[in-house]
Amino acid sequence: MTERIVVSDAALDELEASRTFEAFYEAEARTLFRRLWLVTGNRAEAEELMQDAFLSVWQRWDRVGGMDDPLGYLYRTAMNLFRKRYRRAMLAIRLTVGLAPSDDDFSDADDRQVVRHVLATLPPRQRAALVLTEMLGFTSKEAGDALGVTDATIRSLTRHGREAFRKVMEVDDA
Amino acid sequence: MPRIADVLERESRTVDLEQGDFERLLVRRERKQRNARIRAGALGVIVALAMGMVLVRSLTTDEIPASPPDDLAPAPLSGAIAYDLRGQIHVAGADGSNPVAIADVGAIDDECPGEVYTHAPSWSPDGRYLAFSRFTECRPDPTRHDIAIADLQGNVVESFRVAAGLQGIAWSPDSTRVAVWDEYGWGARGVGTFTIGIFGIDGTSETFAMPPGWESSWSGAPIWTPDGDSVIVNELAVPLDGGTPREIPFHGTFNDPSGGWWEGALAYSPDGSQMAYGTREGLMVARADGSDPRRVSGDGAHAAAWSPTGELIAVASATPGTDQFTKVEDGGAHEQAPDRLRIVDVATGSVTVLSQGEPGTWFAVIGFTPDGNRVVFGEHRPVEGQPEGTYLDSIWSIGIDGSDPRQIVVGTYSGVLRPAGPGGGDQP
Repeated sequence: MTERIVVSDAALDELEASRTFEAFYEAEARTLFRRLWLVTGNRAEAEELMQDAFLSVWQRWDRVGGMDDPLGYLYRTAMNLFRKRYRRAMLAIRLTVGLAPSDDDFSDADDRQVVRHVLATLPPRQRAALVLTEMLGFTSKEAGDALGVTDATIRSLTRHGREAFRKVMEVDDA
Repeated sequence: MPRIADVLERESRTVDLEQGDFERLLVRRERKQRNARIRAGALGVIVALAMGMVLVRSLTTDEIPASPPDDLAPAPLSGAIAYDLRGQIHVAGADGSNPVAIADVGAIDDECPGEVYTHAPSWSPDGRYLAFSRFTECRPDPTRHDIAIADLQGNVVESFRVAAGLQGIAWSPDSTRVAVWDEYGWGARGVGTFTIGIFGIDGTSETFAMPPGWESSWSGAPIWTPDGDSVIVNELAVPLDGGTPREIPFHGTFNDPSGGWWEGALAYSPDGSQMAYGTREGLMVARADGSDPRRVSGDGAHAAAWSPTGELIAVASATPGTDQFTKVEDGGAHEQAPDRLRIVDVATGSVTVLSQGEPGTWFAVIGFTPDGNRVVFGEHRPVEGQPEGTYLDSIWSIGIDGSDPRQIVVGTYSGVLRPAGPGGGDQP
């Protein structure tokens, strides 16, 4: 007699959800990681932020998965996490030894390309604003919501970032 | 020419995730869940109840947040008062509680790794921004002066290099620009260079050079006219459309019979319809264009601030007949010390004494509280029994009837109140 394995509907739903989340992860993780690396300048920190953002989305996947724009939710989550970590890190640094954040992949500019040199001169907030607006097409308002600042602040941050690029290389930033 | 987005995209592709990233995600998830279980166990019944409440809430709400949950803590720089203390600006509650140094909330920017000194805070009229002067040890430029504008979260919205590191930043009435002295000084053969800088929160920057041969008699911040079209410096109104500066009769410095000199106060009423200004003869009130002046009291006001309703003016002035002088420059210039603090009723001219200082005391009017019931002021007073030149600085608030004095800060007598704009300041 063939034994039948009965799987509950709930278990099936969970399995299906995990599959779709995994597919979502496979499709988007690498890109998010790369963009977070541009913002943080640190591989390990970028991967941590990426993982925490996906974990946060996974916790809410039953709802986020059904959104029109789960990717937008993912990026807003990631930027929210970045903003909180950055503020805590800066506060900790200023309360202790007053040093700049260490292990910045952009910091060694001696043999880096021009782009990395420019990125090294930008504070992380400016990098984040550039990534959100230039690469992801966020409006100033959307980027401001993601980073917890006003749209005027975003425009200022991106203006500085674009100016930094313009000074060292010919780019079209229209 | 490549787009910045393309440049960034190419750069981002120079890195990649190492293999096994999804497995690492699963490990991290397991670790977070395990830590959560441990914490839940450690907190026991209280956590269990809390988690139960969360479960009920999650089962009953259909709301999907459009954005991830945000930090609900109040904005770090949303306090009622900002002041200079030991080389750093602090923002504190109305009673001086919970002071936050702006350096500690990141309102400095990390462009220069050296020590940063901040001073001269100035709130925008809408209460949303704090402008301040910043002196930074930068490399290779070790004496960099900036004017920085921060939002209430501590983010530096804009910053502008200036040549001078003077006190005094003045916001335009519409909260979009600040006016400062950009260049201020005397060069070779006594020829001076005086340039006003007008800097916007949108990044715009303009400078206005003062007429050749003109010399400043006071280094206080420019004063905006209520229409935002001009700024007043010393005895001149400087149009911001590039027009010719014109002399004005209602502001300037005054010499007293003993050779001292002081700058008369100039303050516009909250609705912009009137001005109050100090002269040797007393406190004057006039229309905003300077017409129809009338004397409302005998106070030769060094500093003045209008109440929110425009009915009262708080004035710091020197007691007549006293010989109060404070040396302000090694060159021998003296200034008459405003050693009394009073409130003048604009309509009736009646005066209420808030505080009469000992000889050598200097009062600075900071302003009325948003509800108009108290006056916040700074006090610089000699300490009895101590060597000459020993002073105690503090900021106080006092009822408009002279009652209930409350000390807010010790160590400085310079501060600014955050206006009750959309950001809203509470009451000292």
